[in-house]
Amino acid sequence: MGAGVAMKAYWVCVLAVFLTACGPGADNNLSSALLPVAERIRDGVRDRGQPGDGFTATRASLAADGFNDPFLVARLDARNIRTGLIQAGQNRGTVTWLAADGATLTERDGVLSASRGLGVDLYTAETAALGQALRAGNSASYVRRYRHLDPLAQIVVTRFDCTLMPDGREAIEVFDVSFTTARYTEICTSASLDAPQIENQYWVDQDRSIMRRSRQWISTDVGYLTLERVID
Amino acid sequence: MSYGIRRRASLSILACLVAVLGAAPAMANDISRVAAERPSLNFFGNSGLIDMPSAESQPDGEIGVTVSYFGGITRNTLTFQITPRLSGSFRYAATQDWNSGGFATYYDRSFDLRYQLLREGRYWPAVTIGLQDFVGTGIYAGEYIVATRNFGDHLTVTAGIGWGRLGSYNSFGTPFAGDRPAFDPATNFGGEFSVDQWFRGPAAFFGGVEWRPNERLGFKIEYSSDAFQPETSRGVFTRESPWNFGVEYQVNDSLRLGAYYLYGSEFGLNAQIAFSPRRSPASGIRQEGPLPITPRPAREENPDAWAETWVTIPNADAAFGERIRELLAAEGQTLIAYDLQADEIEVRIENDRYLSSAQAIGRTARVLAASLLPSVETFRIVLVDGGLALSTAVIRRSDLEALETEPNAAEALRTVTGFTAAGPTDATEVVPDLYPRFEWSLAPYTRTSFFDPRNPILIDLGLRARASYEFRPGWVLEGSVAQRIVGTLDRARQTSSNLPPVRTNFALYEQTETPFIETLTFSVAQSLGGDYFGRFTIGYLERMFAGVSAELLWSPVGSRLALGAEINYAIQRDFDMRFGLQDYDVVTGHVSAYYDFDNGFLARVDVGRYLAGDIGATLHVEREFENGWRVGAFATLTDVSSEDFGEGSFDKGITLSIPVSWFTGQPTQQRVGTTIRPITRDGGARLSVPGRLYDRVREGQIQRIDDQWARVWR
Repeated sequence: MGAGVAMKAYWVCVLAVFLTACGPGADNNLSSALLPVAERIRDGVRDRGQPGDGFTATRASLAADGFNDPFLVARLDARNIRTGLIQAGQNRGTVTWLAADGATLTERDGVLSASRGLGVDLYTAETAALGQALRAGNSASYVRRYRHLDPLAQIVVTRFDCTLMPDGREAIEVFDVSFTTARYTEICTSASLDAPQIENQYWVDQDRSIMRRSRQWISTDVGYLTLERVID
Repeated sequence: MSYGIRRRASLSILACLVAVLGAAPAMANDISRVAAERPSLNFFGNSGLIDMPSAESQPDGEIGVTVSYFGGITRNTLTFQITPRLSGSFRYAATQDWNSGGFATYYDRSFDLRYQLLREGRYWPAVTIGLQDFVGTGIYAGEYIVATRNFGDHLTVTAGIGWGRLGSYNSFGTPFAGDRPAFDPATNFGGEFSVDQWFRGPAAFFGGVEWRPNERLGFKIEYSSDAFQPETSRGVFTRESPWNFGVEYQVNDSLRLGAYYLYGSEFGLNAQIAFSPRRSPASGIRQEGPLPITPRPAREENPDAWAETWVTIPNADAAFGERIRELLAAEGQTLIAYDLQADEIEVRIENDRYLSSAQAIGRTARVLAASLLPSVETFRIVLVDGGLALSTAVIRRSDLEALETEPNAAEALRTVTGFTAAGPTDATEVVPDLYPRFEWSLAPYTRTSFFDPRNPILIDLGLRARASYEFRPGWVLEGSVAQRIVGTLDRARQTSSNLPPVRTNFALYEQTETPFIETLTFSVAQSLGGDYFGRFTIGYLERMFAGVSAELLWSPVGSRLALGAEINYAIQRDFDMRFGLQDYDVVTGHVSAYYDFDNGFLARVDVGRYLAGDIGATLHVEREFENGWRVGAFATLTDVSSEDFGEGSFDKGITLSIPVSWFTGQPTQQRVGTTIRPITRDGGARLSVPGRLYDRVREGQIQRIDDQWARVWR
């Protein structure tokens, strides 16, 4: 938000004027059916959901805590928050990942198709054309439509004209292990004045055909997420 | 969705909005497009120059609050852009040193309406017709036709013709002839439409120029056609010149400040605060993600998983019911009843968390998909509110599986989801041990009173305890007890009335120093089948009245029209708001028609007998935004004469209802809202009965669900 003063003023208002209630009649203890699962990550990665330094897991600590299944680490660039994610569901080639705070990310072949729990989420994004281009490994041009919800809860479709360009090979380190990747930059432009241009990056692990790292746009409000696949 | 737990705050939300939006820090290059392009507001809170109006319109749905001051005159105005062309304003003005008619400082309430006849085109200007102070006591009464044209991105030129107040300086004649009778407080109680005056009498030209060199700064010069005769004759200020000059600065997206030199003698200030249902101070509604849909194994590959034999296992039904109940509880949904078959399930849920019924349906469907064996294909999700079964959403599990990952998931799921009426809940299907349900809460409250001539703002802070005990679905004993802690409401003045004092004696109820019973009722609200709903309530219905109330509502799930009837017997309560009753009693009731227009407007008409025994009708029109914001106005005309009604002539006001989630970004059904009445009198007063049916039943209406359908996948 960046508007810290406004946020503070409005919490004061919320408390003073909008009358916080206590007692079982007040649905204050929000949770979701996913939270019990999320707690496992919270305990495991010692991520208390705190911004910045809250995330302390290493490859060794993850192994020691019994994380052998696929594991993803996401960083919300604008807020400098890192969290670990485990797989919570799969459906027709998409994988939904669950973070310690209950947020979820859904991707297909490493390309994000949805987020939940980040605020102004990525409601859905088309992934097919980009996925195809990444598999082919060539430059490509295509259209992708992103959907978001506006403050009236209506779907806003933004049509992006995208170009994918291979940037060549790059050796990257993810949690102290080196991987050989092919890097791609995707530049998308739209007629929307709110998001005239976005730039996503992808590092595809050549040996395992897996998205090792990526930096992908969620929304104007949330900004970019950096994702690293730690355990395959 | 036990309505007893919902809370409402008061007009203080406006003060709070102003504090929140005004407190946003000023950051370089941080002015949004909307703020940079929004027409500025004048001293009357309308789109305009300094004291004169322009023909510009605010963006649709925009709400402006302005506070302006010059020469001892303070004007506070709330303006709402009702449609892209129509806007309405409510103003509360104070003129110091008035010193006549028994007022040292004169407080005045007024309403305006403006309509943009012509949008600015390539060759022609925007043209707007406006009625200023058209139902008030008339001291600001004036009409105008004004044209405004932009030249490039920085220069705006305005010229217009004004009548009444706006035709009082240097008038060129009386184009529509007629005389304009002066406002006479002896024969006019204010509040009536002064149609016979509109556009009559002398007219004069006004105009000016606004230059905005960049997105923050603006300079204004205007020629005013207002002679300020009532003010200058009383020595409020001296008017030396028709020319006004000003400079304005856009501090942030919401706040614009201006400083001015007016009428050759006075310095002035103006603060313009803008907000809109379309811009939430929270960024999105933030909450944990929903359960992912895990598809069932393919039937051909794993036929055993799809077997229906599990239904014969003893306790299977209870075990699945318990699992669903637990998962739904985590999603803020109470499982009231269910009926599980081999291939389908009907669940009845009470949504206690989400503003959007679609989201409640979506989260429930995900819980069912995560909990049930593959043979259960059809989900029938019934939204209930106590004993009211609102509607049934029918969703196929295979559609959920197939569409979850589709980019157009919301649109596609809507086309395959059916909505039907829901029958009354079968007592044998109710979740065992759920009833009786007991809930309580303790919370602070505020109460406010505005526009008292001696104390324009009165406010109380106190503590309120609420409890409800539901014997079985829809059979509820509930009440609230409150204690005032601190405040000024006990200074409210009691006014005299020619009618039974059903509302004007409200001040006497504010004197209570001891704990008081706000409400204490027993009620039964039930679906009666065939699109009919019924309610019966007995007890202490509101602060001022106890009694008995019965209501019948006809509201088909897919119908925009609903019809209702309500009959009450009410007895006035003692001023200490304990158990005692006074001598005044009345039979009051209404027949009502509700219509949900597809352009976002809601209208309701109530015809019947009011608390003072007067007979008449109320029209209430609201603009409802998809996210649940509602801004409306109402007026009641009854057989009470203007003279007997007293100041204001008839009952009217503005209503505002805002979902708390819009402020906080947290999922909740709470709303804050208020009814702004320029004056409280006894004519056209309606009994306030808790738990009226229409707003409750509407949560299950297709139109309401569709407004926020996209949240089904949230």
